[in-house]
Amino acid sequence: MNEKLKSALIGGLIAGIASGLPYVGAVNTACCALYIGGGVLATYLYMKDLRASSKAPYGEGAVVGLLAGLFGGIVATIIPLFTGGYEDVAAQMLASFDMAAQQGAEIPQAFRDMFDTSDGVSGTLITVMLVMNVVMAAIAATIGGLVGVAILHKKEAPTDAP
Amino acid sequence: MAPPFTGAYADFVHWLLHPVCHQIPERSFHLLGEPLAACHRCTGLYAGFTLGVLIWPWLPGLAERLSANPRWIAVFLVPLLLDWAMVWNTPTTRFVTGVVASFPVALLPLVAFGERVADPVRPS
Repeated sequence: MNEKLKSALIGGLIAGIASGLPYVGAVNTACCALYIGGGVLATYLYMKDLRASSKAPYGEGAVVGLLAGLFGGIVATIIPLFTGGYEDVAAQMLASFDMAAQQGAEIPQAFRDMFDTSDGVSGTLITVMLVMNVVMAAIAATIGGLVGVAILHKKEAPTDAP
Repeated sequence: MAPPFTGAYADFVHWLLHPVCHQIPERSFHLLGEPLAACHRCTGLYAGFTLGVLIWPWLPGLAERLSANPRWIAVFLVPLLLDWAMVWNTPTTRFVTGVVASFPVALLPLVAFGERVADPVRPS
């Protein structure tokens, strides 16, 4: 497998699993720390065998981070399907909708339907979460990948002129 | 978020961003009586990054020096980490340290973008 893809898969998988787990995923509330960490990890794996160079490979780091974010976002959307994470959040949202309705707010029926889990988690909820997770993870992990290159890049020692 | 994002819409926007920010109302800026969906520190990070993307192209000398010594970017994270660890931080310190931390980071995507444009096909 392509080294870039392999590094991104490992970094994304670890960040995605951690982000999808209850409690552990809350670390992301500190500025997407898990996704940024996934990007840094992916870049580290990609760069560890690269030779020292005069120019830091920022473009490569961005691509590896972006791929890690895409993988991570998908995994982070799948995990709560098995841990019941969506049901908990949906119940909280419906309760806050009820509270808003009591204060005179109009709640669009589409919102209620989206969070109604009586017949299982709705496809709309999963789709919205997938888009949201993938976008946020891709942005954060790309930044992580770039920061990873900035910190981990091995600079070529200057050669003495003859 | 502010109107028209009030009531159910505000709840929905907050829900969308809840995985990436704690959104504690006391630790968030308010706009027209509604807390933003990002805390002071996250708002600072977003603001600093946006500012950086807009301003770095106008500072070529400084940008070149920083991209030659990119590890300096880690130094700008120190105030944020110290502020995070302090009990007595304020909305201003949280916001400002967020701006300071992310402003230099904004240089990296610009450098990466320039690199990809200049050399789009690079062997992996």
